[in-house]
Amino acid sequence: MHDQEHVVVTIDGEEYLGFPDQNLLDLINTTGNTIPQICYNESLGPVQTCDTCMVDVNGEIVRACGAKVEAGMEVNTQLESAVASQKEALDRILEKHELYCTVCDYNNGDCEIHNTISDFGLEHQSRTFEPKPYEVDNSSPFYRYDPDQCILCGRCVEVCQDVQVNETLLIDWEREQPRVVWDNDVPIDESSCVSCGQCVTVCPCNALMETSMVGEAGYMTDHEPGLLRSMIEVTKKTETGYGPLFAVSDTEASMREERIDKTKTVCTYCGVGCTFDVWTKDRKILKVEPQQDSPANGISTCVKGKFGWDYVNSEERLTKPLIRDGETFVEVEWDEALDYTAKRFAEIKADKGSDALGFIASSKATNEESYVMQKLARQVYGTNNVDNCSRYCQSPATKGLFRTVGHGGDSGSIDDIADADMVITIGSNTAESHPVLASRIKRSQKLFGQKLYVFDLRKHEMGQRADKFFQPKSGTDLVWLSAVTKYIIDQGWEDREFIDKWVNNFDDYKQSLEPFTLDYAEELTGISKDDLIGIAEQVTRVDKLAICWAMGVTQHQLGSDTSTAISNLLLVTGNYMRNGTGAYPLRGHNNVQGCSDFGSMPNYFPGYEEVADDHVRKRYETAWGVEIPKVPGKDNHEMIGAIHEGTLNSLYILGEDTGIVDANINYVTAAFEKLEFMVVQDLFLTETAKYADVILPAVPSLEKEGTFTNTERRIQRLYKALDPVGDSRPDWEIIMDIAQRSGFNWGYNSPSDIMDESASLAPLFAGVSYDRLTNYNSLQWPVAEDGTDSPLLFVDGFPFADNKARLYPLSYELLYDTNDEYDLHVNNGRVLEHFHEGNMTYKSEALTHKMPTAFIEISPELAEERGVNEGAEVKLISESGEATGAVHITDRVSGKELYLPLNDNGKTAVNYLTDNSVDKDTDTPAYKEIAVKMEVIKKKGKSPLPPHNFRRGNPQPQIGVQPERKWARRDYEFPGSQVKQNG
Amino acid sequence: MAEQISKIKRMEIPEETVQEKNIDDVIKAVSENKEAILKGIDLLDSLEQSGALDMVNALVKHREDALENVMEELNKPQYASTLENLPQLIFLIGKLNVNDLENFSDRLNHGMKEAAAAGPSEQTSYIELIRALKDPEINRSITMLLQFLRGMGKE
Repeated sequence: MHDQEHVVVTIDGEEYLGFPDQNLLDLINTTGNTIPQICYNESLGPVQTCDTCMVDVNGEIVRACGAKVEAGMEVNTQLESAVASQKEALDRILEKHELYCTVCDYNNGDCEIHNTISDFGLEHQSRTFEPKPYEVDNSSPFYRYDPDQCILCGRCVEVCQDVQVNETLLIDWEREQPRVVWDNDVPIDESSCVSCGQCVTVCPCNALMETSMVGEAGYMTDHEPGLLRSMIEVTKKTETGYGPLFAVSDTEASMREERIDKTKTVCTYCGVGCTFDVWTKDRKILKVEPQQDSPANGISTCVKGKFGWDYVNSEERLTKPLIRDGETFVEVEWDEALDYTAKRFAEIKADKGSDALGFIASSKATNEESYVMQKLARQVYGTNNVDNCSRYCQSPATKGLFRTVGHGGDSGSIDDIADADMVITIGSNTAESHPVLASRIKRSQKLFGQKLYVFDLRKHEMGQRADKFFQPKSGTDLVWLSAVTKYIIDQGWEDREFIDKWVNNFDDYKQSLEPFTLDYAEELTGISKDDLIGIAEQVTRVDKLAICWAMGVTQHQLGSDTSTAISNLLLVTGNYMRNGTGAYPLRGHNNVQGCSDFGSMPNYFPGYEEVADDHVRKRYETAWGVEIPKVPGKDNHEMIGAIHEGTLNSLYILGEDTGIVDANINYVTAAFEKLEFMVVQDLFLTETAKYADVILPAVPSLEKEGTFTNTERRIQRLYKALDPVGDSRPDWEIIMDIAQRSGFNWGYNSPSDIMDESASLAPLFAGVSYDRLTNYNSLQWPVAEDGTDSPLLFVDGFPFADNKARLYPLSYELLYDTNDEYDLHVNNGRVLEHFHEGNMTYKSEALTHKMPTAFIEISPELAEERGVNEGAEVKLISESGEATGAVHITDRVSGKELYLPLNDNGKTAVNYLTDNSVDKDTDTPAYKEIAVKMEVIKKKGKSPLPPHNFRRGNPQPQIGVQPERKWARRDYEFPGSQVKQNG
Repeated sequence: MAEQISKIKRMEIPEETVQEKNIDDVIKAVSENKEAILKGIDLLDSLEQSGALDMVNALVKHREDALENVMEELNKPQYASTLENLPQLIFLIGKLNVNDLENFSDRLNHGMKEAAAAGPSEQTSYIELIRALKDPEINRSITMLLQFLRGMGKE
């Protein structure tokens, strides 16, 4: 697009270069001319509802945002008729919006109506404000809508329909007094709204506002409604002209800066890595404001990132270190807790050797904290027994990519997924697990013709939206992937040029595909031969293919192999090394990627350099002044086994509720009971912490500095927004203190020092430094020493000696199935409203209101067969244990498949059911392979899904806000025509 | 061998310790801000002397009632024109030429002084009026008033 020839346009007598079809308003905005543009938002594009950007083009008054640049265009923004049209449009807006800025919670210097009127220099209102006959909608616990202040710009509708693509908001243009409506005009709380908050973020005024802002942001807004109304009236009377009104309200707005802090942070609820400003007043969180510059998310958020921060101020936060004393934990001072911990670690090391100690880092903590955790294990205690919870989810994906393309990360950026011609998702409930990323796919599919093929057991939202949806039998993705690849090769449709130049091992690989015939695949997967051929045709027809996958692939006994099969298919079809293509394992937690990147793994130093590599180890030994064992340590799973065997006696767990989230928790907690010494570092007294000897109170992301790495390999800084609660402390400080008490004085003054050390040792992060990561700046690894980063991972080939990728031969054996006794298959995963075991999100009243408990989804067929109704109580029994819960009947699941959200730490916790089977290559638990039998306890009851849950809503899909319907109204006149008539 | 437990024995910090720490914090803050604190005490003293301290205190405590009363009152129709005039008045003040006005008001003040000095029952005849024009002070006043009338009549 940028190579196109430019065209010359005259704007206010001066010549400018634009490119053909460029939006005229975009071009005007680059010239330094300012014209009003209230409904325009760069992230949304032209909405064309507010009529304020009127300009004269070749003698005609038009909306600049609705015009495209053409050669020789004469544009005039200052002509009297243009300015009069702009003024007319602004007057119409002020008929709909009352300016009482001083007592408005939105008066924070960024109100776009206020600023536009002020910049335009409009002094008086020509027509008076006309109230609308609608009440404020306060039904949602997250945000409220005030129709009286709404100017009907439709940004909220645009973002809901075409950016978030939840398709809930509309403007009903045909009614006498148009307004924004939810679904088929129901209260917000009863609609299909997922409360992502993006409508609130883009609203240019106070019509849509976070509930947490109301009555909190201003100095004079916290009054009873009646009094506030009187104040609004007085404000209006005394401030008749806008000049004085703005003088007073601007002063009040700048006074607010004195007590409201805006701090950039990174979200902790998934691997997308949304960044935003968090607004705080003392410890109150007023709102979360994503920015256009936010690299991964732009203006987008999901409900948890936008509204789910209550846990930070929970009364249940631990505020002092605790030491077990018989039947109780006793609060102690830090010195006592740290001295005791260091002493016990030292004793166990002296007694039983270094490898009797184990360390588990957290994928919710920062990169720097992962780095110091593995340094503590390796340098201070001399063991490689350090791992993190990516073992529970993403290690198989990393393994599959290392085998084939040499880097264990997403091939490109989220932008590349959005740019692909075709996206395949496998075993990913993207819309609930990675909502902001899912929206990018939904938008590309809805507006730009991207093809979406979804492979999943469960027909979740992405399955419903897919162009093609397939339900392969559990654990058989490897088979259809290999069969499709084989068919492509058999037909000669492979990307020969790419393979010759960039790929090794084609012949061996081709040989290994022999068994994967269409017949075999149809039999094992249940996908018909015709469909398989159709998939192969579609995959080879498109130029750019991106494949996203998640736990539905990795949490199987063949998780690594299936990930490998995905990469094989991409190599054979030449879908690497270009924008819009590649492999995208969607990382689950905010720092799953980073925690492994920075070395908390038993076999890798930071940057995935092998512990067993003498050359690498020497580098760390020299830097740290100790000898490090050559043999890789134990992973999480092996550590639990070793405790049972008696060879591991101490465990230090950071920010992980292992006793809930590991598979087969009866077995795991039995191990905890056998430990000689156990330290847990967390915000809360978790189920795991209850087994500990020492509990160290840590702080959440908002109370510390550091960096997270998202699924795109993007390293982003978080800044401290709040002071730690009580005596709690950041993880890195606590770990540093333990090291010091064991004779190693690290002397870091801040996480920045830790990053500098890591960058100096790990070539993958050579150029990473806090100076290059200020505010919304970010770096995608590998980062060269000069700071050049890698948005696209494979540019000059693959990181192997000959720069070539490798096809990796695979075989398949069906390892799991249901049987006569355990006849139902339990699938499990996330729900949008909650995170992980729920320790954080259940602390939010609003989130809990939307989804109070976990539940068991069963299909209508199964419900009928077993005679159970909505709300029934059932017990699921596997070979490992049992879980009980309430039934929700839905056709998202079919046949004998059940779905259990993993977000529960009580009796419905899925890991009472899971067993010890693991991915054969990485020890990742096969969480997705559970066969159970079901006992009915109660045949019916109260539905676990409240009536105000979004799943019960009725979305109303349409494209954009449809301003044509506004223009078609009988009472609508184009401001330009009106000005002409009057003039 | 550690079983799952969840009872927590909170550290009991004696009240004296908390008090001591708080007092230390306050002493430190006082010492760092000596000048401001002394001036503050002076201000409080003046407010107390004048009786204003009690009034302000009461007003702050009842601010919501007070504000409501004021707002209710201000919203009554009889204040509407006053409130609407208020900003107009500000614009009016802006338009006045303050230097000239000062000169003019000085003269007005002199005039009023003289007027007040004269007995209320004194009368002036037509002849005396004509004669008075010869008095340079009266003549200057009359000329100035005539100029003013000319200026005021200008369109």
